Amino acid sequence: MDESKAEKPFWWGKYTIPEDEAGHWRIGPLDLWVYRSRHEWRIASENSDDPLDGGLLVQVPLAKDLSEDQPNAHRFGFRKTKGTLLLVPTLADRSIVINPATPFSLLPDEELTIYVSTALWVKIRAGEPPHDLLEIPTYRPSDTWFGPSTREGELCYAGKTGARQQLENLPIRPHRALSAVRVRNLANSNLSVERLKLPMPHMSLFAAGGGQLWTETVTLQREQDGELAALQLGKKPPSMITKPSLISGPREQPTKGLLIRAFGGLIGRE
Amino acid sequence: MLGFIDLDVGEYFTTDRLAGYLRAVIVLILGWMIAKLVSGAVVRVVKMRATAQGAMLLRRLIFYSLLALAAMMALNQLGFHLGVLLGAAGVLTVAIGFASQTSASNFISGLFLIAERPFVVGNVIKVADVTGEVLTIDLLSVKLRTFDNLYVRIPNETIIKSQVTNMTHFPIRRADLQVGVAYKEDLEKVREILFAVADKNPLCLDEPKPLFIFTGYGDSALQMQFSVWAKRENWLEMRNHIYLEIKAAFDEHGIEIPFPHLSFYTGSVTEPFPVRVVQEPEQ
Repeated sequence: MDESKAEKPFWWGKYTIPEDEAGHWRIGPLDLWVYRSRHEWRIASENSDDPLDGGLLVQVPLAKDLSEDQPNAHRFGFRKTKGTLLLVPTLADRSIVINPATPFSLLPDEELTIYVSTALWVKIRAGEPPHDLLEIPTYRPSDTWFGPSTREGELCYAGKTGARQQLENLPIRPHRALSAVRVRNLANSNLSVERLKLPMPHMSLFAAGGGQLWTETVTLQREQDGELAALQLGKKPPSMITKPSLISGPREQPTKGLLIRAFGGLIGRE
Repeated sequence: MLGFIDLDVGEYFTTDRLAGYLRAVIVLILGWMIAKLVSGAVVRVVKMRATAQGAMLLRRLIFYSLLALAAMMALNQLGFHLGVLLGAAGVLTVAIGFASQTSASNFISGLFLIAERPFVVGNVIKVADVTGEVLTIDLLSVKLRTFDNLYVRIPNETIIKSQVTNMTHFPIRRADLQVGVAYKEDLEKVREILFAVADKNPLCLDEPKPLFIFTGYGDSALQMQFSVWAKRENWLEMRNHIYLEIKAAFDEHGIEIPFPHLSFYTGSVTEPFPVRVVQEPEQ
């Protein structure tokens, strides 16, 4: 998995970079260069503006030398660098708020599964044993506020892309994570879904066969007595994904209190 | 003995007296130690519940009260009549009370401030025309550090009596941008451009949604207010960036931000302005 190839869906994994050589990755909107010298790893990156930019390119090792003035460069000093570099896809470091382009209503006793995609972060690790060097978003989403008022709430990212209902229509996007969100309405009145908050820091990332990354299934259930129950995180992606492999675990372990609080403001009312 | 002074110094050094002095000194030392122990113990018990400020206040209060008690007992041992002393103290207190009205008022205001907590150490507050970060909330005053690194002392009384704005109480803050465009511009287009700029800026919050308010037909331009929200810590950076981004977007779409305009006209009763046409020099 560490030879230079273009257009392969699996951009993540282990790479070997010889001393004084570089690697270049194009992961969706993110352009990433990593240059290894004897005592230093230098990482430079550049983001384009389009979250759905589908470019994918892996050039390891890269023929040309990196000049000193790369955009957004970070340098890490080592006594002596070892050639192994790890790229690990991770989920966002804050919850993501999804606004379906058209809010939909669920009738009583109905359920619906929607599929949402969110931007991935790239974690770069090097050294023996591997240490985290840097985490770069493939796309830096816009900040947004999620809460009952401007006085209390949580800072989240805004998921710009809409929520799709047909899995077949979804193209494989290796720089974005797909989540299946199952909404169930067991109460006697309509449930209007205008806004959803996905607690990304508590979710895990799995890889499916074709190169698409998935999170575990999320279930939102409105109970019969009209109260919203706690959001439930499934154990793995939807069952139609054959043999998912775990890529990265949750950043924070979900506590019971946290989930209930996340759910309280989860579905926008009125 | 000194002849003209009817004083027998020896009287002060009789055995009884000496015993009395000794007792007084012992009482004082013991009292001091007990005061220190008790105040320390109480503070340790209360530490969890009270702020650093409150704990220090409590310790000082207990220490000095117990020390005063010990001093009085020591004086008693020396043979002073406490009744007279307390009477004099009473009169003195009234006198001091009148003299220290302001300080007392500041002190009480300070206690109320600590109880009410409109702001805490670390907040940024604005009092009258002074804005700064709160360094300490002391007995009589609040100390601020202004953003140009000056040290300001504000009496507690002023804070209780007047309006204080706590700039860092809530997590997000709105920036109200005043924008003016030329009369010839299409307002719908301007509105779309402004919303696109806000959408693109990552520090500008998507929710609460930006607000577009048309404020009026100004003297030189159509005035509008575009209000955008940001996380409090990012407010200044976002506000600066977004002004530049709006200018860039306007330039890109050919939207004019006009200079102040002043129209001259002569009116119907006056002579028209004389105008002379000058030809451009040949290039």
